[in-house]
Amino acid sequence: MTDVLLIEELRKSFGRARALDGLSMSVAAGEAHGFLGPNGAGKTTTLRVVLGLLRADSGTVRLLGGDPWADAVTLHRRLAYVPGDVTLWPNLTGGEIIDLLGRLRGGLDPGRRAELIDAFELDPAKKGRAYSKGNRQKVALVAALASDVDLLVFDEPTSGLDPLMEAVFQEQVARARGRGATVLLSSHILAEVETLCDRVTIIRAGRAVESGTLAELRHLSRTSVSADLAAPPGGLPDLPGVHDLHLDGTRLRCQVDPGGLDDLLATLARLGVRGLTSRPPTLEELFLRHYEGARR
Amino acid sequence: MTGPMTGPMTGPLTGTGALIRLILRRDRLLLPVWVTVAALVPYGVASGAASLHTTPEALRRYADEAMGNPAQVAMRGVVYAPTLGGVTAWGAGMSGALIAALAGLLVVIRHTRAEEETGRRELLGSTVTGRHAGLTAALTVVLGANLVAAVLLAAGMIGLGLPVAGSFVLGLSTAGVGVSMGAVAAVAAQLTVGSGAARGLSFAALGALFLLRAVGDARGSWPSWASPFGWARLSQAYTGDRWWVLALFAAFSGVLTAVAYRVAARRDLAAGLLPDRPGPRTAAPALRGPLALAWRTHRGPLLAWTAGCAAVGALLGGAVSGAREQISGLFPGPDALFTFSLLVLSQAVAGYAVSAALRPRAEERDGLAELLLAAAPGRTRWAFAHLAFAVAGPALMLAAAGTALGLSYGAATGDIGGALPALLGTALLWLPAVWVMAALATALLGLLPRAAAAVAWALLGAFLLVELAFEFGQVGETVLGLSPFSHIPKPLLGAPLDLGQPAALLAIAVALAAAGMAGIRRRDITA
Repeated sequence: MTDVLLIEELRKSFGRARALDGLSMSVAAGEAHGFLGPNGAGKTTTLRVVLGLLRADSGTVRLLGGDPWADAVTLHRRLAYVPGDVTLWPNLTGGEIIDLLGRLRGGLDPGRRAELIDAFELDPAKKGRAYSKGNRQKVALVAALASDVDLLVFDEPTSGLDPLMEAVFQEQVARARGRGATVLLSSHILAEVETLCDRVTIIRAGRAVESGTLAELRHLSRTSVSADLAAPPGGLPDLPGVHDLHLDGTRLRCQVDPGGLDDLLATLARLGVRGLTSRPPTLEELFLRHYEGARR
Repeated sequence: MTGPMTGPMTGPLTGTGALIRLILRRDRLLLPVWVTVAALVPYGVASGAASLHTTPEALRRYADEAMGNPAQVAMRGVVYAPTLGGVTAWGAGMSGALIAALAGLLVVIRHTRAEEETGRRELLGSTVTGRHAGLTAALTVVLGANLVAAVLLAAGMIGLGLPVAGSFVLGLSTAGVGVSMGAVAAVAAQLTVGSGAARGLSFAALGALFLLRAVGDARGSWPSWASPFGWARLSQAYTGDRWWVLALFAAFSGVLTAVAYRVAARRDLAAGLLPDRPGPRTAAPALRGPLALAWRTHRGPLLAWTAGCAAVGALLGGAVSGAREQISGLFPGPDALFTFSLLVLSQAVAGYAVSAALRPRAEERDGLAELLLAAAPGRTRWAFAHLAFAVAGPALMLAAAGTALGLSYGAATGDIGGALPALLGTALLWLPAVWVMAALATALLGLLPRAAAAVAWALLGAFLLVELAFEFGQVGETVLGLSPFSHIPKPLLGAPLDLGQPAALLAIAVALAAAGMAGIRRRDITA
C-alpha cells in the first residue's frame, strides 16, 4: 500500500508562535485516517500546509506523489477539502457554489450532486449569506463528496451539523470510501473518528504523540472497570496500576493498566461482586490521557 | 443570584456604554487619526492662505480668480468674502466635510451591519445588551469624535488669530456633515443584508448630496440648501456666522436616526428590509473559473460606478454650457473645469481601483480563499482575476465619464465631433495614475498582506491631501511629485501633450503589480 500523504518533521511558526514542531504522520491509500487533537494543537495548520496554502518552514510533505506547495494546482484536481469554518460568497447561491467548486476540481457527478443535496436536505436556491453555519458546511460537503477525487480532507466537518445530518455524513463518507477515496478527517469529536476511521494520529502542541490503528492504541491503554459489590468495603488496598478510583457505597469505578487487571479482579472477587462491566476505553478517555499533562 | 425580574433596569439601550468602550478599543488608532487629520487640514489651509496672500488686495485677487473658475465653485463652493477667514473656510470647508463624511459613514457601517454580517453582533446580542445598543453606540462615537474634531479645528484656527465665533461655526458645521453622513449610513445599514452593499448605498448618497451642492453653488440656486455639504458652506463661517444653519444638521441627523431605529425595531437580526429572493439552483455554464467568479463579485459596484461616472460627466457638460452664459466675463473657458473635474473623478475612480485590487485580501480574511484555493485554481490566477477588474474597471469608468462629458458638452455647443474625442482622450489620460494606485495595492497585497488595506487607503488619502497642501503652499513640488496624479499632463490647459510621464507611471504600475504577484506566489495564505 502506498502513502497518499507522508509528512516528516514538519515545522511551521507564525512569528514567535510555533504551530508545528516536528510533526510526522502518514496516510495510506484507501484508509480513513483520523487526525485528533485539542483546539490549537496544529491540526488546521497541518491541513493548510498539506493544501499548499501555507509554506512549511522545514520538513517534507509528499501529497499524492507531489509537492503540495509547488504542484498545488495539479494536486488540487485530485482532492476535495471542507474547511472547519465554511464561508460562502454572499451573492452566490449554494447550488452555484457547489457547481463552481466542482468545476474548479475538474467536474462533478450530476447524479451524485442531486442525491447528496437530497440526503443533506439542502436548499440550493438560497444565497450564500442566508445559510446557517450547518448549511454552509453542507454546501461545502456536497461540493466535496460529489467530486470524483482520490483524497477527501475534512476539518471538523460536522461541528455545525445535527445528529441526523452527522449520520448522513458518515454514510456518505463510507460510500466515498467504497469508491476508493482516501479520507483524512481532523476532529475533536471522538465518536465520529471512532465510527469512521481505521487509523488515527493524535497531535499535541504541534507534534504527533501517537499514531496507529484504534486496536494498537487501545493496547497501550487502560481498561475501564465498574463493579457493583456485595457490601461496602471498609477500605481498598492500594493496588498497582489502578487509577481514578471512585467508590460510592457499593459502586466502584476505576481505570486499570493492562498489567494491573489480575490484581484488581482478585481483590474484587474477595469482596464479592454482584455486577461487573469492563470495556475498552473510548477514544475520549484515550484522548484525555494524552492531554491531561498538557492541560495542567 | 437575582431573577430576571429583580435585576437592574434593562431596556433597548442597555449595554450601550460597554459597546462604546468596545468601539473605542477597536478603533483606538483610527479615531485619533481621523480627528487629527480633520483638524490639521483646515489648519494647513489657513496658515497657507495667510502666508501666501499677505495683503487684502492679494486675498481679493485670489478670491476673484477662484470665483471665476466654475470648477473651484463646484468643488468648494462660493467665497463669501475675500478675507483670510472667508478664503480659509472656503479652501478647507469641503475637504474637511468630505473627511468627516467618509469617516462617519465608515465607522457606522463597520460597527453595525458589518458586525451583524460576521455574526459578532449575535455574540454580543446574547449578552446583556439592548436591541438598539449597537446602533446607539456607533452613532454616539461618531458624534463624540466629530465634536472633538470640531473643538480641535476651532482651537487651531483661533491659534492662527482667526475670530473665535467663526472658528466654532466652521468646526461645528464640518462636524455636522460627519454626523449627518453617519446617520445616512445608519439607515443604509438597516436596509441591506451585506455591509458592502450598505457601504455602496451610503457612498452613493454621499456622492448625490455632494453633487447637489456642487450644482447648487455653480448655479447659485436652491439645491445647495438640500444637502448637508451645502449647509457646511451656507453656515458662512467668518463671513456671517449663521449659527442657525447648524440646526439643519441636527434635524437631518435626528430624522434619519429615528428612521434607522424604526427599521431596526421591525426587522430580524441579520436580515435586511428586502428579503433575499431565491436564486438559481445550478450555476450557469459560464461560472467556471476565477475570472467568472470575480465578475460576480465585482459586477455590482462596477456597473454602479460606471453609471455614476457617466451621470457626473453628463451633468458637468450640461452645467458648463449653462454657466458659460452666466459668468461670461470672468469665465476662462470650460477647459479648466473639465481638467479639474477629471482629476477629481480619476481620484474617486482610484478608490474603486484600490478596493478591487484589495479584494483578494478580503477573501483571504473571510476564509473564502481557503475554500477556493483548495479547489484547483492557482493563486496567481485568482489574484489576477481581481486585478483585471482594478485595471479594466477604471478604464471603463473614465471612458464613460469622458464620453458623457463630450456628448453633453458637444450637444450644447453643437460640436460633438470636436468635443467627444478631446474629452474622452483627456479622461483616459488619467488612467496611468489610477493604475499606479491599483498596482500599489497589489504590491502591498503580495508583500505586506496584513497591513495592505490600511496602507493602501492611507497612501491614497495622503496623495489627495498633498494636492491640497501644495495649493496652499504647505509642501513643495518635490512632495507633490510623490502623488501619481501630479504627473498627468493637462493638454486642455495648453500644456504640451508629453506622454513620457504617463508612460513612466505605466512602467511603475507594471513593476509594482509584478512585485505583488511574486509576493502572492511565495507567501502564506492567512486570515
